[in-house]
Amino acid sequence: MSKREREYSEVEIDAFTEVCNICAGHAAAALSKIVDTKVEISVPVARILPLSEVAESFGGPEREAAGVYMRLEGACPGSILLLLDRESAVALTGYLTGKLKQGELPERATLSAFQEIGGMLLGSYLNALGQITKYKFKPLVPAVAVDMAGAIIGTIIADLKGINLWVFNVETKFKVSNEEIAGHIVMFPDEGTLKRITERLGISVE
Amino acid sequence: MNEVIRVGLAELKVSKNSTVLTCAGLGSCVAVIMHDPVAKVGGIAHVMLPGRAPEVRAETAGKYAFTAVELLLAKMESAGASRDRIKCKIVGGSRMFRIETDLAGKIPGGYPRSVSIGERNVQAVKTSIQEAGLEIVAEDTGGSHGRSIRFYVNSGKVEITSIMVGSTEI
Repeated sequence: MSKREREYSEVEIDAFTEVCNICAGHAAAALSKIVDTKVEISVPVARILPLSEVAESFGGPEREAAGVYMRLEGACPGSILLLLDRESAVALTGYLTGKLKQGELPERATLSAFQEIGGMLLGSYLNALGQITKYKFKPLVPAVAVDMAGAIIGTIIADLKGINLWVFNVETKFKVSNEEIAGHIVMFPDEGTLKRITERLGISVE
Repeated sequence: MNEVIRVGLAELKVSKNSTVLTCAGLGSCVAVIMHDPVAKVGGIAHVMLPGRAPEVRAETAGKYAFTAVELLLAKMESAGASRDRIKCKIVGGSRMFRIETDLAGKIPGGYPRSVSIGERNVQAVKTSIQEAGLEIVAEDTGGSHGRSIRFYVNSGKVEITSIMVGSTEI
């Protein structure tokens, strides 16, 4: 059991997963505005798990994925990743660029569109988190990758230098006019960030 | 059927004869593959970071390049491999994330490590292999795509698969 794990109490985990759920709802509302269509959202499943297990929870390290990754600055530093499966990424990008052919991967130009819409989704997620906690989350330029889930996550693990880092993984399904967009929003709080957030939520942590 | 052993992030494993060692989804990480064709001993270290481990723990022995190469070599020798016969192959070290550059062509602040960590891993692995007095006989490194590998310990053959650029063999 890592040191990190013990730093999170049950109360902290419950509170923060609830907050993740609310934020995912805001992201769905933002998506609805962007695509000008009703967006349904399934109840998100929020879990805390080691970073090294995120790829497994996504369906294995070799599953094809599209990710938008942002570093967060400000009072609550950390990182955030939106990870979608191939079909969902293609569908989501299609709302900005027009439909791609069935199964077609976002090419370089459409990769920018994916980066844009992914960044917007994460932005609205962070806005909601900011409203709840009264902190300002300052995302840096989003980075984008389309490849094996394990290769994307492994690179983030190396970037954060933490294989035992515990993260909040929110699994969400949006339904946009009969098309399902399934994704994970993964938040990696830096040391101290979670404590600051839970304090603002009025949870006293021993 | 061949026994298949998966080498996860930061792990280091050595086996013999008809086993197959695999790494799934290498991004900026580098797989250091060592092979003794006579003793039929093979091993992989799944390197995550350049440099040297501040403390060595068994479950993350492969995490840092320099420590990983030293420990992998030691483990190969204790499994019956001979230093004179060991050949190395390296795979991985990609630049996974694409970040929009600003007008001056510079990468905006905040991603100093993520953009270059793959290249730094490859460099560190090469230096540490050279310092150990071993030879790299083949490599498939760099680029911006993820890779998975299957290493056949009997033959020394390494199959590399990727979603973006197809499959190859070294």
